[in-house]
Amino acid sequence: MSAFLDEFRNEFKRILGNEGARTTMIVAVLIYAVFYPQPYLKEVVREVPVVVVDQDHSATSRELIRRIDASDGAAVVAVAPDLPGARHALLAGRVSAIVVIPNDFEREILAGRPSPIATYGDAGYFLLYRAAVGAVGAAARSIGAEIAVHRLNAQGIETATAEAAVDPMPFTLVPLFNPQGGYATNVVPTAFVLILQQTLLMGIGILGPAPSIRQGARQRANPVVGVTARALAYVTLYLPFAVLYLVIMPTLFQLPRLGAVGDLMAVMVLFLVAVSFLGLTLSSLMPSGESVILMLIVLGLPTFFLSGVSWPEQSLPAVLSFASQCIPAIPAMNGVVRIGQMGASLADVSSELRTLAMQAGFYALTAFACHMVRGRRVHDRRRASEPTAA
Amino acid sequence: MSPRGSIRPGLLLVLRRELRWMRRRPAMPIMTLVFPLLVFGVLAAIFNTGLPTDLPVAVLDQDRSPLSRQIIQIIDASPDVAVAERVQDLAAGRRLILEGRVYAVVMIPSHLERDVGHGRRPAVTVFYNNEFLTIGSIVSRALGDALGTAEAGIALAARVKQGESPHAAVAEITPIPVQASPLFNPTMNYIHFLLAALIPTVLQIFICVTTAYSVSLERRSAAGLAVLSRLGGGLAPAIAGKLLPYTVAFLVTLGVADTVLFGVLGTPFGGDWRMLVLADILFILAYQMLGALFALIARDMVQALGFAGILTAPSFGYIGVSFPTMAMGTFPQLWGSLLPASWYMQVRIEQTIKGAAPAYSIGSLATLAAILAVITALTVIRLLKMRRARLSAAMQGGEVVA
Repeated sequence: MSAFLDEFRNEFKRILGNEGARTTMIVAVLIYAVFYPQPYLKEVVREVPVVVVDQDHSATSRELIRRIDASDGAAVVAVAPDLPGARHALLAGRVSAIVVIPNDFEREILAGRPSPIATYGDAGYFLLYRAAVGAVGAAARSIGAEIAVHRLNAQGIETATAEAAVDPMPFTLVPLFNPQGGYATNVVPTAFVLILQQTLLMGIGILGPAPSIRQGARQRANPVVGVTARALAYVTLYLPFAVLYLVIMPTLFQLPRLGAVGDLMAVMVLFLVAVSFLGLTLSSLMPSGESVILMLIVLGLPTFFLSGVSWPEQSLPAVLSFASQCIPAIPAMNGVVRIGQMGASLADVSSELRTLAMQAGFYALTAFACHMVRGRRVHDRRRASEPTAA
Repeated sequence: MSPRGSIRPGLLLVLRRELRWMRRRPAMPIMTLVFPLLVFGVLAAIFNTGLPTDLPVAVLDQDRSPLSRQIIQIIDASPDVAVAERVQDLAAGRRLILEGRVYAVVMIPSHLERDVGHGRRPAVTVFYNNEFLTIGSIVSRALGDALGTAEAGIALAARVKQGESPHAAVAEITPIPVQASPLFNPTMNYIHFLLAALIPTVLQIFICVTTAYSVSLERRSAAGLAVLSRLGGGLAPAIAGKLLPYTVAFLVTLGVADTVLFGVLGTPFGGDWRMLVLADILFILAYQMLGALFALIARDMVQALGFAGILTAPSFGYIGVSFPTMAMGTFPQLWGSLLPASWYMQVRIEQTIKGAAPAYSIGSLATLAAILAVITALTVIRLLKMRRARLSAAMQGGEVVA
């Protein structure tokens, strides 16, 4: 037990004594907490700039423009005389969509014929396109419904009946959990989990194998005690960061949080245990601390897209789907989002917890194995060199 | 004095040394060619299936009428969603959403068919998971379209029953149809854009980190930098000879990735390729110079890699690939405008997918070149300072040896 406590305390000393590890595991974690979320903090895309080509200049076309402008999704920033001018504004990036109201727009309506309008949107940005086209569609539908009701009124049908004929089965789409469609709400907590994993793995890589193993000291008992003590030291160091990332920062950024803090931390403890053992495995498999950093820096982005948070996991190829099950951040990201943002309970995320527990167990075994093999190799080398030394 | 006096210092000498060096270190070809292409392969595989189809939704059918069955059928027929579960109450539906097994619950109230017939306008409600934005918007759009179709069908049938011609009835139901044309992306395959933007986002990390690594190794060896500048016979050839092999290697990597993207995966390409290649080169040089600068100002390699990581890893957000720049706050807009990748991305998207005339991209290209010039100037200033420090140290040390 005292050997365990020694290792545990010693590991903290190593972290604080190693400039690289200290920077990665403490300073970088604090910088990222503020720096990473900045682009997303405005949360929602609203008032997407559109240009209108009004070839009709009628009361109805002006009303349509007014309604598009009044919507949340789009703002009419310019009225262009012709299509080439509007196209120029779009290519120059000043607007994201063009609305064309053709000649005879009002006349066709008055004649009782369909009177189409056209939207051309920059579909490169999913969010912008959807917001702009959605706003135009809603404006056209609302005017259209009024026209249809008016026409029925003109035929002597009373408004209630006319509305039932125009809109016999209304439907409402209710967004759950992230009603505003906020981007930060979705991205920030998940990216935070990934940052915790990456910095912790890098830090463990920089620290490298503990001195006891490096020297092959025989008086140290078994590697299980040492490795477990070190893992526990990392978990202890990172738990406050988990609170900072998942509770304090989201509160400061005013992101909605539904689930219980205790449930979140339960996921985080399992996650940090799995990451710590994975880090101890990697640090003894990789040739150097720098190679661990090189590998992890470039793997961050693909890991994020494997998580299923921004892209549905259903569409992942089988190989990648399996690979994603080996990365602790992936079940953790899913669990954290479901508890934190959707208000799920631990029972709802039981499959993620199971995956994390399996990872923790598996990586603990690999870490023990690596350190035993490495310890023995160093030990043998020492023995082999003893005669020459003597 | 040297027996090989015929070898004159210059760019070629540094170049040859660097190539020998690269051959000896497997990390170099791995970090410049193999690993980046592998990461692109993974990203392409993730997005290869295009927008997801048949996303699972649940239905709570309290009516169990021919009409409700018809609505369910219309929903199921949508390519984007599939009715995967039927639930008996909303609590069960909520649980399925929380467990991540369905993305929405469609609630069809009891007496729907009867109430529609009596003109009571009963409402169908969809609860969808909007936490996962891309998925949420696909599901809500698909369900909205399906219910809109179902509703239009009801309205149409009622009018036809009253003797209107189907053609006239359609015109009556939607007086102002909207023809939406997605530009640059006619099939709404958002993958093209995402991959086109992700390739340089991943590559800038590789370029910056690899250069920081390689220059740090040079610094680590006692006389590394001094040897380099002596071999090169000056600062400029030394820098060029050190960086050029990687510039070429990264250009090849980018070329291979783009050939696959535009050639094999069928992403539309309509721009000026010369302009694109010019932007490619400026982009690669800018991140090489940044990596070199980090290696020269950092205390050691770990710190250099740390700087490179902090600058490049979060820039996915700052470049405005996922969340549009125009919707960001002031700080991220400002920071993003300092990153070479933001300007490169403008040129890249304009000169490939958008097919804009070259004139549209000249401003962004010039800004990219200006940023490169500033980073290069900073790197040179730093190198000169280090040389001065080395020379004065050598002079003091020289007396001791003498």
